[in-house]
Amino acid sequence: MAKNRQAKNIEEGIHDLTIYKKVLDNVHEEIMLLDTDYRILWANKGVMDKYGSAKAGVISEPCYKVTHGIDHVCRPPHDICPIEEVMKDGGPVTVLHTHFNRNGDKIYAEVTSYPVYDNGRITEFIHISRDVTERVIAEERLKEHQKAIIELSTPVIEVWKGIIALPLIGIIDSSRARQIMENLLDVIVKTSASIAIIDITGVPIVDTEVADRLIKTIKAAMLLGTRCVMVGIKPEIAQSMVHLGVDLSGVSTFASLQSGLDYAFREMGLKVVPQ
Amino acid sequence: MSKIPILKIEDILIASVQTELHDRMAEDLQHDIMEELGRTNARGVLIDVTALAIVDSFLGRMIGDTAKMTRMMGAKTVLVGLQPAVAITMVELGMELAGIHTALNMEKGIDWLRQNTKNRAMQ
Amino acid sequence: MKVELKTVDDIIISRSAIKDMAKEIGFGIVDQTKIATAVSELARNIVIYAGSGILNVSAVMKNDRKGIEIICEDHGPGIEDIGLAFKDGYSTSKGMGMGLPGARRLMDELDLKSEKGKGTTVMIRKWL
Ligand SMILES: Nc1ncnc2c1ncn2[C@@H]1O[C@H](COP(=O)(O)OP(=O)(O)OP(=O)(O)O)[C@@H](O)[C@H]1O
Ligand SMILES: [Mg+2]
Repeated sequence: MAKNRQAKNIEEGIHDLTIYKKVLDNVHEEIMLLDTDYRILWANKGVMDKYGSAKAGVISEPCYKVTHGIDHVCRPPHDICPIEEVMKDGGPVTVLHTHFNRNGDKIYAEVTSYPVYDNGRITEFIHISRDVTERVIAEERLKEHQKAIIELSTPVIEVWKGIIALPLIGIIDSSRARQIMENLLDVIVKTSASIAIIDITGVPIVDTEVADRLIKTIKAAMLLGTRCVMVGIKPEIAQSMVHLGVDLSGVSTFASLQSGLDYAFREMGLKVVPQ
Repeated sequence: MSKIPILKIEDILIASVQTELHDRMAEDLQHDIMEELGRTNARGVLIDVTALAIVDSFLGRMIGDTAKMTRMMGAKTVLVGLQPAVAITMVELGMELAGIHTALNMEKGIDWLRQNTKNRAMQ
Repeated sequence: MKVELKTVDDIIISRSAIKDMAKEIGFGIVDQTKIATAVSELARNIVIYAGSGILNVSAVMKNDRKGIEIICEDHGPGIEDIGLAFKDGYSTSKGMGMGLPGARRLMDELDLKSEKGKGTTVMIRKWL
């Protein structure tokens, strides 16, 4: 009876092990067990396939050497070591790392580090990493596109020597407002413009945040030595700005781009005459 | 620590800051400008900060005070060459240098001083 | 990175070092300038009000976002009324009262802890 049970237990154990192995070898995630000195105690097939080379295995090598090809622990300002973060927080930590695979290609890996506790002390770490290169590259591309769109949607035009115009179109959120501000100031320096005309005809909503950004832009331009004129303030926007308590005193404002230009020409001592 | 040289061209004192401004250097510069103003009767002061990467509240106050002091002596001050990143930071910090004239570059600053000191002389 | 603050010259040295670090992390010129200026304000407060202190600078990470964190610590007199200290224009030293509220506006996060007679710790962060 007892013998039978023992045999059955072993059988079950072997059965479990085959299942574990099947699972661990067939997932695409790279899984490894590390000791507190960053050395790899165990790694699944995914790790071997991705980082192992014919000459050197990965077992008992430090993780940073295998995945990063460096001989020190990852540290800022480059990748942040997840083990050190786990030591600080106690819980699992996920980081995005730049790794190099067995062929030396750069890949992006999302690494989650789980602590293994023994009697309340962290004794080992389990690292599960996933190749997210495609996702990261797609995200980077998207960001570039967004940047290009923002730049296209906030052109700064040199209307006349010393006069630039910034026609704003569409909803302005805080990141676009930032971009507009930096872009305008750069163009001011590049063109040595004395007057900048900000046209908000195409801006549907001016809330306190947008108004605040616009005022800060105007103040920063003034610090550079350039005067800003705001044009295209529609009646409903004027009303809402007053209701919001936006203070535009000290800023020259005009209803239309034409009257703003007219003012700018006069200020520069220029005169437009019919032929 | 080095001093910032002050040049005099016609009626204008020109101080061009070429390095990070340590507190002591800024204090010395203020002192030297006032001394030169007293000595030479210059009518305008131009401070070029093109090379300055950071203007904190200390330096901002220093510049503002210098402009106030020179005004008391009947001279005008213009600040030229603030970098866009510095200007954005100053506005966010809450420092707008109200009452100080600024210009994009040395040439525009000198133009402004010439015009504004001449007008006053003719009055 | 750890920086000791004892004299006004240390303010200039530490803020340029932190500006370089912000650049390495990937911040653009505007953010580098904002970070360095906020540090300049807090470091100057330490030198003026507490005499000396320490800056602890590190790169941090939250949900895939990189950032910079600076912890400014002193064992000076502490701040009695923190609410008042953050008011624009409030100063006990004929300053412009711009340092603390300005640093808060320049950064994404600011957390100040102070105990009278024990000292002050200000933590600031900015995210990429
Ligand atoms: N580390 C500190 N220890 C003790 N008191 C402080 C500290 N930092 C700030 N304070 C107090 O808070 C007040 C406000 O500080 P804040 O930096 O905003 O203005 P300020 O230093 O007085 O002027 P400014 O920074 O514009 O030159 C100070 O006047 C001081 O009383
Ligand atoms: Mg202060």
